[in-house]
Amino acid sequence: MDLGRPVARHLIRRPHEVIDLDAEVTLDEPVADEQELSTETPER
Amino acid sequence: MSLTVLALPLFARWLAETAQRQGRRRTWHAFAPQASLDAFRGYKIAQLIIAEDDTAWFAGVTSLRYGVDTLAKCRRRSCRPPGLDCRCGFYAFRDRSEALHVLGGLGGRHPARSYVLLTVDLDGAVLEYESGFRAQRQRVLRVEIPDACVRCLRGGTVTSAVTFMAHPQFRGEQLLYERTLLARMALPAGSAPMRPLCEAHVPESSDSRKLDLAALRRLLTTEVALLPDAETPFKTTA
Repeated sequence: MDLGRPVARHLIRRPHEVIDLDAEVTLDEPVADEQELSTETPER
Repeated sequence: MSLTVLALPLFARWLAETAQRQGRRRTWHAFAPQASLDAFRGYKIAQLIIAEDDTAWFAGVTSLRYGVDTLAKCRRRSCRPPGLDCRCGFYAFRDRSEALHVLGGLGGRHPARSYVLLTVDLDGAVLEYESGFRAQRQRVLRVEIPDACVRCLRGGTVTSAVTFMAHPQFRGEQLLYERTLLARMALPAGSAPMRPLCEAHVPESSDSRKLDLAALRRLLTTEVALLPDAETPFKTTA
């Protein structure tokens, strides 16, 4: 099958190959931009 | 003497192929691989083969047998498709019209073979050419069957199909229709290309199995449809 001259090379990965399903995810770690909620009543 | 006669052309071919391999490798090495997550959409033609045990596969122009989601293989052990210096891998055209053009040409020349149009996604290592791709992995998204009875086509007329049958028309018929010895051997006894047939050409024998689009969808686990009339090559040229 003649497809003409070479144009480019690609390496295409499927999404599940990119996402590391075995990586540990810890939900309890504090997030940097997260701030503690203030318990004070806002001044009027 | 006879051995020399046989060996010389083979040796000449091997020499030419070796020289070409080096050239091909050099050409591809000039391109750096570009990483991406978007598969390439391609179009190609193949024969849809159905065996007696309800397995179905495709017999392509360059690959003898592949399924809906398949990794390409090469006959050379050291080659990992698509080999930069090889011809292996899954081929597909960029434009649907080019695949339709090939479908029309082959359908007219070998009406007994009955080809279908495939829409595929190509990924893994992909080599891009001017008019298409050669890839490591292929996923068949859609199979489109020309709505034309293959037996009528042989007589030069176009009749809409009422059913799709995959039964050998006579014992060992693939020996006559397939191009290469490998292709002939790849078609096990009892398996046959799926053929669209009109009412007049449906065989009367009780062992013949009629399939409809829904049954083909179940067999292949992918979308199967009729090729639109406007794109069926035999209909537009008739």
